[in-house]
Amino acid sequence: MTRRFERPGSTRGMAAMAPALKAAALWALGLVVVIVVFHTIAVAQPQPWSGQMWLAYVAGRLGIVLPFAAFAGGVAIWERNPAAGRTRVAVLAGLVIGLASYASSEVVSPLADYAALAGEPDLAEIRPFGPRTPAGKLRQLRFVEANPPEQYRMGDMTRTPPNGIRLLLHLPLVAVAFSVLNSVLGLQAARLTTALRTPSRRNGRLAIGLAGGLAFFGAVFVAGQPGRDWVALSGAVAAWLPLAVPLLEAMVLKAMIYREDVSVFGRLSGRQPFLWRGT
Amino acid sequence: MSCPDLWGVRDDRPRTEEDPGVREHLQTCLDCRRDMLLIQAAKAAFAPQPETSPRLDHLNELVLRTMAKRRIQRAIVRPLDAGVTGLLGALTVAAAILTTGGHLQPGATTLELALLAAGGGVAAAAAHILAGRREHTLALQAAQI
Repeated sequence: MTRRFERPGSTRGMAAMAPALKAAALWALGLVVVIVVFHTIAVAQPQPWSGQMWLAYVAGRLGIVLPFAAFAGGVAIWERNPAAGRTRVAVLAGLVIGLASYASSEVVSPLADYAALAGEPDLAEIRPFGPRTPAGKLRQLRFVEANPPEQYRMGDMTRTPPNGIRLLLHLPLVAVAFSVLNSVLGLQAARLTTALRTPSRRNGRLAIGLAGGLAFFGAVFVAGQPGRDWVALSGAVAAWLPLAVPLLEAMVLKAMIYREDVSVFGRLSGRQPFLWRGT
Repeated sequence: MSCPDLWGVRDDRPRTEEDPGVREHLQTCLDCRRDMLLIQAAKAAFAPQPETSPRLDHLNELVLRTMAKRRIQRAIVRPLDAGVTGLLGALTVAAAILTTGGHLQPGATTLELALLAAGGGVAAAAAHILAGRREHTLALQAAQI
């Protein structure tokens, strides 16, 4: 139902987000298919995987890929939505994609993994704190804090430093925040490249999305190195700090859009663009 | 003679004779002469100008034709565009596999990764060329309308 004071042409709710969710889902599924094909062809399997193991694998990879695919969602919002409230729709679409990613990697994948291992005789040793869901990680954190070992070691469930566990608890939340940012980045990249030739526009958007995603992943990789002193370093700070990269990218893109707008409208109105003064 | 209703009695159309009574009155009445001048000016201002419309039509047509031509030209995917798309597609596939730890799993080799990335690049370039052709066809159809 259209509200009385709604702007003409604006759409609300899921209908406005639909193109973004569709684009992000298509990109994410395409990349997951590529990953699964590589896994099937290249990785040596000692025994065939069960359906639950496949579900755990695919859901885990989907959870990783979805925040990066949110960029395509932002681009689709620029292409399909009316001008009013595009940023709001991009933020909402990013949030939905991020929550889907969280559910996929932190709930579906660990539960399927635990179900696949249910028949193993050494289940209590492999998964001493239950499925690797956020609740399981919290149980692990409480255990390590209550029973500090003589020497911490990453990878050993009962001897992982608390900050290492905090890093793993915070990273999926950072991925949700990155989904929101990446969706807005897609919108900004689409706005910035809109005057280019169609093939250059597509390539430009793909290049910006790929570069931004790789930069963020690189920052997460560097910040979360297992070789760091996780006893002294804060896991929460290490998890959230890489978000500075997409934030910086958003500021740069915004400044470029502003510069372009000012140069065009400044020229039309006969005034010298603000950012060009003195240069 | 009392002042006539000039809008009603005066006929400005070509080859029409003016009423002699009105002509005589206009020569003597200063107010009516002023009114007459105003009426003539207003009629001239709002009269259709036969030359303007075709000129505007021509300009519109020119602008539309230029825009359509530009749209057709801009939709064409050149070999360099397809090459860049292929490279970006290959990088995306490789990044997706590497960032999810595919290369760390037992049995995975760089050759397999490179082959799959190349396949992804070729598929991306082909998809871009097809999308460009479709857009080009649509632009041509729109220009014919």
